[in-house]
Amino acid sequence: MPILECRGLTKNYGPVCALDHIDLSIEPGRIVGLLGPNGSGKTTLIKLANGLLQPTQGEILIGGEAPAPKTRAIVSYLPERIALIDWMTARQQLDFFQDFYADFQREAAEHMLAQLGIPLTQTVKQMSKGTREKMQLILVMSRKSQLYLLDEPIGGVDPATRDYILHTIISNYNPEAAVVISTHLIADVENILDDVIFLNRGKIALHSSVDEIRETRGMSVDALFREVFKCWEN
Amino acid sequence: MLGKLMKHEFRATARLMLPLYIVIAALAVFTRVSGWVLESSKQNSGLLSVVNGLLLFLFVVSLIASVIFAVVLMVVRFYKNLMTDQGYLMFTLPTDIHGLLWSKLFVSVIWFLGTILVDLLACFIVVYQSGMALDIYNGLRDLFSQLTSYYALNGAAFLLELLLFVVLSMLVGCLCFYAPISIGNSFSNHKGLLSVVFFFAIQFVGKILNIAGFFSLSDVNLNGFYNDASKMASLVHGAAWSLIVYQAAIGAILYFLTWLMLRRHLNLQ
Repeated sequence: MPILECRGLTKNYGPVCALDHIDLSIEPGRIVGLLGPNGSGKTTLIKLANGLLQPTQGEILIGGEAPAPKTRAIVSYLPERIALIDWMTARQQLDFFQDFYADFQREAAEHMLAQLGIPLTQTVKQMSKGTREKMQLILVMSRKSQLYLLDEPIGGVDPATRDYILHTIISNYNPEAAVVISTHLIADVENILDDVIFLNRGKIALHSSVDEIRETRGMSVDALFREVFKCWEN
Repeated sequence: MLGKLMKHEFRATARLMLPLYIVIAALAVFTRVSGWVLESSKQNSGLLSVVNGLLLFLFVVSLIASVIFAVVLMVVRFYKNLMTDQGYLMFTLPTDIHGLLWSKLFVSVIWFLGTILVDLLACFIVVYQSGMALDIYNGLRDLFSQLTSYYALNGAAFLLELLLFVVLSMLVGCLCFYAPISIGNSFSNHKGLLSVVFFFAIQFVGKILNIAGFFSLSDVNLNGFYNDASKMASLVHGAAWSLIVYQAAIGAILYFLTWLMLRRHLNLQ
């Protein structure tokens, strides 16, 4: 059974159509790149999967069920914004996740924080932007979830942090789970992806495995992306 | 899950409310001590009078500030925790919107009641005279016995009705802020301004309903009630329950509006 499924999923913001009759199925055990330019509907799709938005039409299912408290227990979500509680210390953030998520692995989180030299007594307010992003990622990846939804995990960070984030994702995710990574920085994530979904103006322009793209088209995902989303003709 | 949400809500608010209570208690003690010193000083000291007056002023300000602070904290907690970036964390917890709302409502009401209690205790510290506690106890006992014997009222039931009404009013007070904030934040632009507009719109509708209710009761003939104690008692209990039901109905409407906006029209930026 697919862990994430969309059937005729449509989302309008007033007169603007953000997602237009999306049909999609993601199986467990795959790392999927949700790729597209800004405004293509990536964040909307992820928000719908988390129940933060309601579909205008169609449905989105997590493990066969519409987004609800039960599905949130098996989804680990990294929002594109820092959603940490600023007055809390790192330890209190861990307590918070441990309280609410049965699949949270505290030891793994503490180990990663120690590796980065983030003291448990440091408050979020005292952390730099990069440290907050790492902290948030550590919390999300320390869960043994069935579906990881990572919205722009490497956007707006320096290359060293980018490497750390990608390393953390591939070394900590549950191998039986599906990982969806939304980004427009294709070259950085290409090597860790099994499948790619190209989103363009709310529609799926391509859904294929990375191997298939390389074999049949003889080009990298990054090169194909540039071709599909070319902004002008020579 | 509600218990866990309340635990974290307490943790977030106690770090601000408890120091405030300590300040109020300390001011009460200092005011009381300076009053003693002033009374016991043989010579009339101008400086002591000024210090005592200043402490008394600060004490009164702290009492008023504590009530305002509890209300502001209730509003800010709701807005910041659910409508800003923290909303991404809160709305993706494995709980429903009812849990998020009730945890905030319960904790806010507990702090309101706590603030009233702390303020009363602080006043008690400042004005306490020997035998005062016994006097208050006897006064309350007399009041209830007179209510029971003269008006045939059940004093305990009346007290419970009063408490229920106060708690309901506090819940409705919270929802009077939650509903407009939720509606205002469902729009893409001018969220803050629209929240304020909807706040006043809800207040306006509420006032109209209150006035309409007041006028509809003005025609009720009460002549037969004044001389009949049992009729008077049933009138008082009936009025109390009418107010409770009215508050519950207003609360239910505001709660539904808030829930609907958060469930169907959540619009985190």
